[in-house]
Amino acid sequence: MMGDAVVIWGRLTEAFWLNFQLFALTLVFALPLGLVVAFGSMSRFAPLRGAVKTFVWVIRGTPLMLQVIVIFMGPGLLGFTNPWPSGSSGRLVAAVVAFVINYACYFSEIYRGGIEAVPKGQTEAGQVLGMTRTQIFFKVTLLQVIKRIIPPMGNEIITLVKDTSLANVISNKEIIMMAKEYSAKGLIWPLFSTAIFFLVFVGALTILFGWLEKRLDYFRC
Amino acid sequence: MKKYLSALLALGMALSVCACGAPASDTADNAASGTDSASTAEAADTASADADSDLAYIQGKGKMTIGYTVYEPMNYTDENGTFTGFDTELATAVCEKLGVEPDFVEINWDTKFVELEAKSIDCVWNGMTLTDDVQANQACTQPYVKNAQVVVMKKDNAYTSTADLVGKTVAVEAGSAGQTTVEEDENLMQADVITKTVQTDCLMEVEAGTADAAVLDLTLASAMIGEGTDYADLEMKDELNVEEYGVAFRKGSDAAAAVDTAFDELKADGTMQTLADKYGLTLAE
Repeated sequence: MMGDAVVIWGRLTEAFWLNFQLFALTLVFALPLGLVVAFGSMSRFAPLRGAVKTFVWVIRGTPLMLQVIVIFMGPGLLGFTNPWPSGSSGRLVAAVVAFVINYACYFSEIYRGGIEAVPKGQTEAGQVLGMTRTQIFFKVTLLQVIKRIIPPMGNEIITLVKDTSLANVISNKEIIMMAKEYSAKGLIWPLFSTAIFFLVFVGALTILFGWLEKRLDYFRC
Repeated sequence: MKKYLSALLALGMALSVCACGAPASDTADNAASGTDSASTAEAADTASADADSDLAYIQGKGKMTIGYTVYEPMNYTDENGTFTGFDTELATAVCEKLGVEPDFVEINWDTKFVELEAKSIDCVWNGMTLTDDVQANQACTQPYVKNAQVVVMKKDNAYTSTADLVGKTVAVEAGSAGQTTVEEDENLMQADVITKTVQTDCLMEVEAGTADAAVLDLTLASAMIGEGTDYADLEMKDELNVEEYGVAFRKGSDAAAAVDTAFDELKADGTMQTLADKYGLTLAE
């Protein structure tokens, strides 16, 4: 009646693929966008800096779950045409958009911290040598920033892995929602077994970040 | 519905057997006397066909014996141990109008009509769906409560039948009767079905245009959508799996008509609507 364990593990794995897609797509777009937001919040042009900082405040100050709902249903509820593609792909796209915006804001603060931690003297030295601001950033600052931000980024990225479950609030059938289909029928082990998927994935990421940190260890500053 | 009922009945039986010995022996007594009087009642019926009416028989005893099974929200015992429910309260009100005492007897749902013929009960009053079979073989009252799964869409969307929803996005509550309805409908099963944790979220999806239609309970839908709500531009386009509940008396009984009259009075003075609101049900038109 409940279906055998092999089928259930298969369906859970299939559902976790959605968590993975959301995770990967969020990183691909939020990592560069975060840098753009970081520059905005450090801009010498005060109105832009103010606008970006207000935006970051709103995004970091409201629950991601609520943002997902607002991004997905907000346009339609406000009387505009529903912008999302129909079918389940539209729900994933909406979730990706909400996650990218949210994580770009968190990443931007990590970038900002990393950039501002590089001693100002280095920028001044670059200027004395006649380098442009762009050259200074990419040739002098960036690598040091990358090394510095790996631990806080690792932290945020691990949080992202688990946050992907929030996408089920707009009926993206990710692993928790899939498992709840069974718990609703009275079979509860699948729900608790989902922890294994997250643990294995986060374990792999932890090893990856440890390795990255070691690789960049030669780069002292 | 039947499965659900028999499951509840089984539970009710198990509980009553476990709780104490008395109800069990009561039931046995009832059953025994029931079988006894079956033949005599039949004989009496044929002998003096129209001699006295069933209503007169019930009023003569001074009580109406009502067959029920434990079935929330129709007949059940609440957390304070009080026997209550929509049917319990409604039957009590009707009995008052007929000048008799209600006498609730828990029955086996599968043999309800045998009990009826055997005169061990006078009526079956337990959220019973009025099917053609039941109406042909018993004297039934007018339908008093209606249940259905409704298709809710935006007002300006065209809808003729569920065939319009093939390939569209349809929101239902996970594990609800609405989901079962969608899975069993040959057109709706071809829709892109989205499950939500609560029925009200389905309405929000339709309002946002992220789902084309929602399938949910009639009662909930009528309370949540239309003028004066946040969902003023949504409407019910269709009713699926419509069920109407009625009360069954013995075939040829004139008591059904008397109960109908009482129903009309209770509808007119608003008593029935108050009860329907209390138990979250929708009255039949």
